Amino acid sequence: MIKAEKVNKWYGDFHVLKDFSLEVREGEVVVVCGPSGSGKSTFLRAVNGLETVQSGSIHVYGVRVNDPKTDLNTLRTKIGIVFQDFNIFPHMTVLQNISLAPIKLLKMSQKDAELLGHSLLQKVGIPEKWNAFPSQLSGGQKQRVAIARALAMQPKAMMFDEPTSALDPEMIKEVLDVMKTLAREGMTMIVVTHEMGFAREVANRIVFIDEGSVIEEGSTEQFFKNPSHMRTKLFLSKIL
Amino acid sequence: MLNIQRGILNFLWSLVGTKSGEPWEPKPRFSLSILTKRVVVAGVITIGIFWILYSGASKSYLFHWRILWEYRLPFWLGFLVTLKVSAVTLVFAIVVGVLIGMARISRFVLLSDLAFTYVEVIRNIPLLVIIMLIYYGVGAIVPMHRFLASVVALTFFEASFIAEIVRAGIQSISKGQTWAGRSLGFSSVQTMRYIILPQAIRRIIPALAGQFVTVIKDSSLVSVISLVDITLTGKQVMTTTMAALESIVFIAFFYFIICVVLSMFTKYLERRLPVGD
Repeated sequence: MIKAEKVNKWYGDFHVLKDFSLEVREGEVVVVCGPSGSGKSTFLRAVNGLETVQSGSIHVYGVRVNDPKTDLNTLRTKIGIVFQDFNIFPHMTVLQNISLAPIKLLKMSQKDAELLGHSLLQKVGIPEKWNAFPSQLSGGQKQRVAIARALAMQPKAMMFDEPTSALDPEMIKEVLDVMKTLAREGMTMIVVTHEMGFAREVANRIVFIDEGSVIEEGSTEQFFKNPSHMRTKLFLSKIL
Repeated sequence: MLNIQRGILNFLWSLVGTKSGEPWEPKPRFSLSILTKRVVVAGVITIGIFWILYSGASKSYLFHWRILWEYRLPFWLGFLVTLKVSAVTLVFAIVVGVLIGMARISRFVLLSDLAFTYVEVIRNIPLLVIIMLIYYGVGAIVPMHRFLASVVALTFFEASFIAEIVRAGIQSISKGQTWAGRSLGFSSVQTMRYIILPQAIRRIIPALAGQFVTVIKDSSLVSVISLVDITLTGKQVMTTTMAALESIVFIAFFYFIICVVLSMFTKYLERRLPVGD
């Protein structure tokens, strides 16, 4: 469903993505890990066209992302993304954060969008916070609002860019729990994370990347029990 | 010697009270808010200096404050002109400034280059010269009234500053907000409208209110093309009555009061419009 082939991207002289290839099938949960600066976040942003790539191709549901003729705005409604630093809109209440896009883009009525918002807040476990402003929320709550906001567009796939890296340890679990629920419901997910417990539990596949290319790719079991590359072993020994 | 200086400085600091009290420091016996304290100190210093100057000048100059009262009507009319020029300028300058500020951060290189050129050219020419350029230069091609020329010149000038305020306000909103908007499927225009601008405006408005103070002060320069604002009225009163000091002191006081009140309003806005997070 999401297919990247030999993608290359440079920031000036810095070669962020080197012949990067990855395929994610419908309903799959793929965890992407690797040291910081390895190009994980850049790849996620490239998938929905927030970053341009210089060569290679990225297809999302058969539509080529890095093609000037593609309507990226429509394409982006099909993939939700959750960022490390939440990026929820500080000038709106929680409910407004969630209902803005359905109202403006899906032409949903205010009432329907708010009903949807309430049910999504129920799902992420903070139904009572609908009228709060982001500044009144904890980090974990903000991130759950961000997830609800992305889900409100009824995306076919969700991408998570280190969703728990900016959180205090006690808040990590509440966010991961929401993500686990999503995974169990069959959502296609690409998750950049270092939470190996989460990976072990829900990932179908784990991809290890370093210096802009895929070093190792395999089923979760194989990845943990029997990694084939030295670099992967070294990485695992450091974070496990 | 150095110790004495430091002692004096510390004493002055303690008067102004800008050093915020650390929680473990003993609280002062009576505590006025820092603002009130500052106003009182500034008032005492100003009145003191004024009194010294006034008593000095009184030795060689006889003050006739009554003359000001006799000329209350011209002063009132001058005040109205100043207010009108400033207000009309501010409205136009905000419109032009916002457009240029947006053009400045546009993706279209030509547009942003044009805006950049405008801002840099205008900001590096003195306002007094711009006013004369518009009135005598442009006025030679398209004849215009002094009032119009004043508003045009001031608008050109202030718009370049407002453009910078707008640009800085928009660019101060983190890139992540744009990513979040675009990733939901909003176009760049929609992202700007629903997400970036509402946040940027909260940062821009207090700065704009501050700019109004600048517009009022800058408007005094239009007296150079004989628009009878309060400054020129003062000058005319000076020459006709020889009550030079009375009139100029009054004008200084007049601008001061208006601008102080407006700046306080600006500070109030800054506190009232916090940007979340």
